[in-house]
Amino acid sequence: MIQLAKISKWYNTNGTRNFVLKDIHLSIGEGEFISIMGPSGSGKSTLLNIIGMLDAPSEGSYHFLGESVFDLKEKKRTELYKRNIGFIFQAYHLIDELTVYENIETPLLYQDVKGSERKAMVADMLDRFNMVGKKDLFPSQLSGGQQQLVGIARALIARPKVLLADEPTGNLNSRQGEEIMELFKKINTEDKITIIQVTHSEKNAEYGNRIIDLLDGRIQQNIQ
Amino acid sequence: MIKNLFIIAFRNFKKDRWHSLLNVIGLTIGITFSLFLIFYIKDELSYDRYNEKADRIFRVVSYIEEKEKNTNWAVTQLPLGPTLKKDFPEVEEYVRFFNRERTLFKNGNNSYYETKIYYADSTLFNIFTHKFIEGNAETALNEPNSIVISKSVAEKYFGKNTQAVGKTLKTVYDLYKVTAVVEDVPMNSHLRFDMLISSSTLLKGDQNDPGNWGGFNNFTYVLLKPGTNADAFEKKLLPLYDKFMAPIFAQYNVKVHYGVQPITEIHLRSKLEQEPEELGSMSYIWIFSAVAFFMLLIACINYMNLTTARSARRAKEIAIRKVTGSTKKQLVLQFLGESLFTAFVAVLLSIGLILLLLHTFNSISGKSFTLQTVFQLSNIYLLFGIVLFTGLVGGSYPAFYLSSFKPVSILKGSLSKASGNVNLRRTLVVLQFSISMIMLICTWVVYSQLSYLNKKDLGFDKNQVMTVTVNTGEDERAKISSMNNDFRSLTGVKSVGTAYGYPGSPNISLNLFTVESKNGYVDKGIECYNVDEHYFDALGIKMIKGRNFAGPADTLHSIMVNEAMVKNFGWDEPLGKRVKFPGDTSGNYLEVIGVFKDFNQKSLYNPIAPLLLFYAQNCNIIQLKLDAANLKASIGKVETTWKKYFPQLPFEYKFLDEGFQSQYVADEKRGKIFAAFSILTIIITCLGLLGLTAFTTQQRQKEISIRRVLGASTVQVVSMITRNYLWLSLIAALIAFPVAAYFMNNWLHIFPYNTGLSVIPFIVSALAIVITAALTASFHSTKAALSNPVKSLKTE
Repeated sequence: MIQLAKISKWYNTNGTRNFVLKDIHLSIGEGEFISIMGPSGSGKSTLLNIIGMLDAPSEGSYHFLGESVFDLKEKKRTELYKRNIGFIFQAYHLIDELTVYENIETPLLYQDVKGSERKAMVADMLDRFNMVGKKDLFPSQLSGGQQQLVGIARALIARPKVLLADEPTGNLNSRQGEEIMELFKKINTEDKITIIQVTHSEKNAEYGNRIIDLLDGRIQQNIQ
Repeated sequence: MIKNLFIIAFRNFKKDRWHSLLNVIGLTIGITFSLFLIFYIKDELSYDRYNEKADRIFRVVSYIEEKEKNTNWAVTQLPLGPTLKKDFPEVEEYVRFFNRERTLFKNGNNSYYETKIYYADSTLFNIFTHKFIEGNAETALNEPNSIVISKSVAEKYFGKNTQAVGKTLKTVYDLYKVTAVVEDVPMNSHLRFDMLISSSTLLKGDQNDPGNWGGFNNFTYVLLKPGTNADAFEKKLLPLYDKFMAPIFAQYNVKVHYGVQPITEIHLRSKLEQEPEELGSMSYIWIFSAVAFFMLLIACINYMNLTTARSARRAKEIAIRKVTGSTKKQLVLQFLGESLFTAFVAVLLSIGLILLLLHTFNSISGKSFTLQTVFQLSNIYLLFGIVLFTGLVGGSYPAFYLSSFKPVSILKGSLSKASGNVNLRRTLVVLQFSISMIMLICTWVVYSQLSYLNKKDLGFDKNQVMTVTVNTGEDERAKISSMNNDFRSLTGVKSVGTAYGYPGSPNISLNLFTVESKNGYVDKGIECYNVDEHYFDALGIKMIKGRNFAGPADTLHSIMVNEAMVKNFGWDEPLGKRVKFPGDTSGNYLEVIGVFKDFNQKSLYNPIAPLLLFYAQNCNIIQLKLDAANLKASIGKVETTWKKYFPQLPFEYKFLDEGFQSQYVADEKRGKIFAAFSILTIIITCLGLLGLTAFTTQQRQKEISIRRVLGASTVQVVSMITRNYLWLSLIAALIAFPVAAYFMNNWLHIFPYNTGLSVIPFIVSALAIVITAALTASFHSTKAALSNPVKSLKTE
């Protein structure tokens, strides 16, 4: 479902090209659980952002569900994006002024889901993540693990085909991290959602079924 | 979706109370006071438009050309109206108004002086729109001695809710029958009356005397047929001079032609003498419109600056919304929505503030706005218009700026890169500073000019001179003479003079004289009136040459003139110079016996013109010079004496300084409005500056912290931030100075006696803005400089 071909990304500094990504060829099928690894500055997040359509490469082509992403008009691309991709961040990035319930609801607002249906979907999600009792709390009133659960719930609410996670456990302690990884595994196997995560931790990477090792913007290893 | 946005807007509002308040307060002040100005402008523009046929009603006015000067009069001659209707098919109807002097009216024991009285033709109600409460428009002014009165006059004489039609009002001579009661003439009418008397009361006998074309006494209005071109009509009136007026005026080289003014333009565009009411001025409309617009604009700029200042706090929300699928358009709409909402709240608050300040504004501006005028339908539209304007203008920049944030960079924490367009914001600040400076300079110049006028030596002593007028319509000279003797015996009364005019009195006549000069006798229109020998003493007018009037012997031959007259005719030795009445072949002449020092007969808007005074005893306008001490007691004594002689007349008096000052009321009013608004503009600008420095310091918090860690002192940090604004205010001064100089130079030219432009208002105003700006700017930067640097570096 995801085909990256000859993807490169560079910045010009003083006339020389500084490559962040170079000649990335990557193909990801439906239902995969992929971990992208590599040292700091190896281009992991950039790659994830490109896959997530938040960033554009300097060169190369990207097909998502058969569509050439960067040839699409902005509106079409947003449409493709919001129907199919959910994003999870290391720093959770919840809207501080909204409650748990409202945060989870937000993506649905941008997809014109009807009020009653929205209610049902959010209620379902709260139930599934055992957060019914916390629905009226604000992010600042939750622990990090709980905030990340809200972040995941928000990413899943619109039933995306792909879940992108940028070091989802980076700000969590190891017990919370494990819980999140177990959850990912479950989502991947039960809901058949493709997951691509960026991680530093070997242990977390093991949860996936493929590891992509990046070094200096190139794919070093592609371990099945 | 909408609900979600409301929630966000509301919670953001609450969370950032200080900023939100600043935002709303700035907008509220801006909106409130520009609304006041808009009301004022709307009212000025609405003059006479309440007449249903307003677009077809024109006033015919007279342009009189003499050799040396032109006089433009709002009045015309008696036969003009009927002639126009008879000879010009495009004239559907005409009406004439003849001003009547102040008259005492009586109903039983209810007696009052009335001032706004006109004789008018019965055709009036076919042309002008007046609401009849009682009586019939067709017949109200047909019969002689019919009188139409306004509602408030009717209530004054006959009480509320009583029928007035059929009752009578008495003057000393006559009896008038009330034939109709009409609603009070709207304030926005260029001609307001309390009473209308049928013209047939005044015009008796034959009116076809060709000599009637020589006297300019009445206002003439015509109702033109639909589709008539007024300019063409005006041209068609040119031959009237040859036909009717040349026989009278040609010998004196006086030419007359008529002008045709649409009535809706009289209030703002007419510049004639003998206008029935105080006029407005189009230039003030432009100035006030500009002030209102800039006030709103400054408020909007503040909103922009304050909102973008908060952008860092909103950045994360924006990024997340984008990541969760919001398009840029949706975000733009969200922020526009928020600014519209803020503008809406500000407008609501403004309405409250307007209601609170309505009375004050009325007393400053001389308008009488009521709740009804504020809440009329067109103003409701206006309010919505303002919500849209401020919401969209104020929200546009933040909306597009904020929504163009790149989510990836924000979520990664590199916020400070999203700094927006610094130059745009600087331009906006310079604009605000310039406007504030211009307004401050203008206020200053206007005020110093007005106070100069107040203090200027007028050539007479205007203080403690009380004027009373005997106005019974009968010959009261004997009574006046003995009353004046009684006045003179009162302690506290220093001097008593009488005259038929006084400085600042309206309608001083301009007569044509044949005057001896170096080049033989020349004809010239000269202002003149009668005074007695005590007049100069009572008013403190100084003698330059010759002698004062000495008594009745001076009645027929002697005149006194002012210095301007001496200069005008180039008299080396004024005494003994002769003045004749034109056309008088009897050999009689007037001889100059004395020259008095120039004094300002008219307001200081006019240069001192030649003035000629005749002698008359016991005139009906009495000037009493009172002692400054025990003024109140003296007035009481004067009243007691007055009552002894004229028990039937109410005791009404005026002080000369008030009367003379009243000529500047219009400019003073506008000056006050201007002053109030320049202060407000500065306040709003400062509010904005407060927000802007908040923005800058927030942006530079990290830099400030690092500098502090490296050893910069608080003062150094504060001056680093403040310095920017000093530069901006200097640039603003460069823009403001020429603009203010241009406008003020033009304005000062209205006055023949003016202060001229001095540099002081410019420099002090600029300094005031610079200092205010510096103080405001240092507020936030000091706070930032004093905060613990480690703390802000940790959170980075």
